[in-house]
Amino acid sequence: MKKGFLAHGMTTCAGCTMELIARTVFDTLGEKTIVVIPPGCAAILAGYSLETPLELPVVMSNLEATAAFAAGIRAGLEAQGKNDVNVLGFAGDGGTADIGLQSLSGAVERGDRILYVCYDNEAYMNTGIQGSGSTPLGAWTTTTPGGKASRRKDLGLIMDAHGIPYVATASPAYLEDLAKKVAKAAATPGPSFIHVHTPCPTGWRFPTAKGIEIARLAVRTGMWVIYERVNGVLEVNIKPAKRLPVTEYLKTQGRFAGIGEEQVAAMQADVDRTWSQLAASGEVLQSAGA
Amino acid sequence: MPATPNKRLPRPVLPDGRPIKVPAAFAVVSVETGAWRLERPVVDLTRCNRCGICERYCPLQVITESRTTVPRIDLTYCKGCGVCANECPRVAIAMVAESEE
Repeated sequence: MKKGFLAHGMTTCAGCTMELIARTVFDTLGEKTIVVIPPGCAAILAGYSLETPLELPVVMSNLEATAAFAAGIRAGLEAQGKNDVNVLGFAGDGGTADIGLQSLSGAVERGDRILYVCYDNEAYMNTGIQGSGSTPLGAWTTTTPGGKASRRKDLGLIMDAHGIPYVATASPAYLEDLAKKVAKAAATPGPSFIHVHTPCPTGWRFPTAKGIEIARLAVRTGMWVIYERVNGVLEVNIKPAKRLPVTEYLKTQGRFAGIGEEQVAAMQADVDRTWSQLAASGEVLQSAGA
Repeated sequence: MPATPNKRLPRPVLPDGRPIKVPAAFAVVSVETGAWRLERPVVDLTRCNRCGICERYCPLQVITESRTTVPRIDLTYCKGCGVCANECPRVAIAMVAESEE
């Protein structure tokens, strides 16, 4: 009955989209994979003490050193002449955009051949929904009780600024797209980074059944742009034929319940600007992908 | 937390073939998360057209055979999140309270 490399009966929250993303990533990479997971929600996948639900070699790294662990494993494999093994870093937004940013930046700058997947649930969910550098404007967290006052970091652009050979975004609502990108990233002869939107029913305050629907809404409103950038060349993979207003996305989540009108207008303006820049760069919004 | 021993992992060995001693308690974590469930997915087979979308989006991968015979849901582990029912394009899955029959 069990499929893939992860056991059933893991203690992820009901409706956790990170688990679906992890299963898709592991299934795509296959058994010749070494996984590095820092503390965070995905630490459940690495296991505790002498127990693990993951039937792949996995090491739980320090929170700030996922990419450094992965780079070290790759160096060890190269020293042994083993070139057919994937080295995967699988970290949340806190371990990527904030605490782990320096080691990720170093690994990408050195050109270490690692695949880094960031599941972005837009706050420190595992420790109690504290705001992170990836928390969007206006979102409630326990450390931004009146809504976050600043915008989020753009991780994709930070990675692109390093001249990374492969950077992409993905969503659990479009699993074929995610699987395709994981396979492409694993085949890249250098560092690769995939940023996956990860709706979190516990932290974003929505019913457990709505995770995939909200991920799809993020794409249809233009809030989450599904793109890939191969050697600097940008391609938007899913283009909503008619973008819905961002309020359609915001109203589905309790974390945006207290958002002000000016912040909604600022988010809509951000989204509109992003898409007009994409259109100006030759990525015209014509096909009805979503 | 009941843990089931994992019999599928090969015995680890050093490069020269000597076995590495692994603690006897090494095991695959498995909690019967079905006990968390407040609502249970029930498939209406007259509406289901075996499209497989519920199986694809189940975060736990506990749905099988949705394209071949009928969707089989492993209620030992299903947490009752309702993603399958929400994604079903034919509204063929109902979430029924566990207290009712």
